[in-house]
Amino acid sequence: MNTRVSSPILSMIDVTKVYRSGASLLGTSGSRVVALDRISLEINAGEIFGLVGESGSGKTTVSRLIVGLETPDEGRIRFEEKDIVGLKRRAKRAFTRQVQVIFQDPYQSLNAHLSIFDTVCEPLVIHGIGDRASRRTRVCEALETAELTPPEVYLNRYPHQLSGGQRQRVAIARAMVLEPRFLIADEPTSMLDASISFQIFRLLHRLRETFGVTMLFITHSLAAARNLCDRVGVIYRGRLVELGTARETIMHPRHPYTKALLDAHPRFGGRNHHGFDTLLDVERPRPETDHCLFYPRCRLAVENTCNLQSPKLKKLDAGHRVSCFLF
Amino acid sequence: MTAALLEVDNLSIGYRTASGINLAVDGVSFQVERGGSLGLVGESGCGKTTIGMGLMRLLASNARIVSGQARFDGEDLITVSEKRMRQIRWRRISMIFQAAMNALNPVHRVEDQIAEAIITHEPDLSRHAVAHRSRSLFDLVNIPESRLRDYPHQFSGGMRQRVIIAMALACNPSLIIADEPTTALDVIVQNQILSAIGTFQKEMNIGMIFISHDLAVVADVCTHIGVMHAGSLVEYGLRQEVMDCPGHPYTRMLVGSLLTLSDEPADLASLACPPLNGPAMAGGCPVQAICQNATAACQRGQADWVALSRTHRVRCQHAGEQS
Repeated sequence: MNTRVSSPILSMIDVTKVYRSGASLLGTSGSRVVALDRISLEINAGEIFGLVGESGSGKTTVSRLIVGLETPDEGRIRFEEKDIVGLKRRAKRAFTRQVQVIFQDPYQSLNAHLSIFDTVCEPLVIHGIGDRASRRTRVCEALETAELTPPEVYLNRYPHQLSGGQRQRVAIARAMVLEPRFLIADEPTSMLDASISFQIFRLLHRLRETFGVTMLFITHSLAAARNLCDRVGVIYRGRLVELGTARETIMHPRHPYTKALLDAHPRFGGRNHHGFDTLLDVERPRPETDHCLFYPRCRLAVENTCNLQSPKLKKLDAGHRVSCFLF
Repeated sequence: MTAALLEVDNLSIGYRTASGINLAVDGVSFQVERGGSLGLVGESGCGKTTIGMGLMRLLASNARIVSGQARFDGEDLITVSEKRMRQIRWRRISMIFQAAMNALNPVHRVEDQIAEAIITHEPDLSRHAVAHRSRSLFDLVNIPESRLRDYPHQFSGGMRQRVIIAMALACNPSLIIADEPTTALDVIVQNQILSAIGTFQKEMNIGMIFISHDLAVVADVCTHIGVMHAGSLVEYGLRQEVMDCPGHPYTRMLVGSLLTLSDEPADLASLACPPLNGPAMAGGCPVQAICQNATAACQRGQADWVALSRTHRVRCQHAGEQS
């Protein structure tokens, strides 16, 4: 799959995002939640990049920043060599046409009042593409792309008449109707049955093969990332802890957190396969000073190192990078 | 062989609709041993939750148990009086519900909610004994005692699910029905919950029915697996038997669609995975619409059970024919 790898289509450079809560008008500061902490990553044209982490790790914040639903507090995000923060109207419109999102929950991401035709057609209307007849053709093509065949059957239906898997296909059709270059799939199958998930993975894989669309695939399932992605980044509490090819990162993980994720993965029968055992049963107290964020849970942590400074992303071999003092 | 803890025999449950009774569970039979665990797997709408609710006699008002027996410790859960059922429910059989986020009362401390569960069902216990038991329950599900006086919103999703498990264990039941207890949790939390379930099941010798759509999770915790499709049980056996040599085409498809961790990624394009949302057929094998091996015989009627081994049975006309 490495033949496709070319220049980065999207790069994030030292991106930080902080959410503030509870701050009042009188200036008393509320609590700060650092959702992303100096994240840098590059996604190459034509690849499927997986972002793996548990809930609350900042995966979804990454996707919201990329599509411009949030603005980063620090750092830059570049798409096709252009900064996406502060784009002017026309440039912004051209950008949003190139980048589309499939959200997690197909039960909430579709408007219940819009028919499937209106849902999939809406992006075309917003971007002023085509006339009535050509839009209908494009909508049908998009539905066929999402394997909703024959498309005519679905055009006049409403979301409540469809199953979860069919709704997610509608969401995929809506994203693909603009023929985007970059697709973000934010846990697209976490609400779906295992067998339906498999079909959605297969569909996403085919979209890349057929249309060459670049994909950011956000998931907490290592198995999904292993089977779908070319490269994988593991994110923990807003920091990137490991980055590399899917094969290296998941089959030969270096960071204790990636190993813990691998341990937690269900294996058929017997829990004795858990080889790494890096999670502490009782967490250490969180140090006051700068520290490795994984220190409180890490069995392998080195005292007086991991609790005093935070590790940088270090390059190991062949593009495999890890932020851990053990390397 | 001793008598099983729960023996379900030919259970059928239907929902009343405009067009008559619609069978959601159609002639299902299985057993749960003391300390054993049965995983019921199937996609949404296949009737697995209806079985759980039926055994607890908590079905919706438009549902009716059409036929069948469920012998639990010598009593038939289907025919016992509602008064007797109230004594059995939660004390003898308890349930872990799916939506843990919504199952706790947000305005009461978790300690009080657990105490309430204990006092309601065992009103004779002293305050001291109740407090002692809630502490040991928290210990069992691995939540520090200091958190007993917290409110649900101060807990993470995984911890709330563990509180729910503690509540289900509050009255020392002998059977637990866990309905998708880890759906919507992420992998590390899921693993913690599954090992908490494994621990109490072993320590307290509790029988369990584990309902899930995820074969990987079921294979991780259960000793037996029952595969359901469109209201019918289509395969039943020991975990190893079902996972290693699935006999039913539907099970083979489920096992084939499991994404595993291996050095080479699965070839997503080539794996056979026909659409699963086939229409339910009137009469005949429930899987025929999506089955690649379906023949005319499959349309005529549902196959009888074929025993592949002493513990492994399959409901398919063509069981044992193929390679």
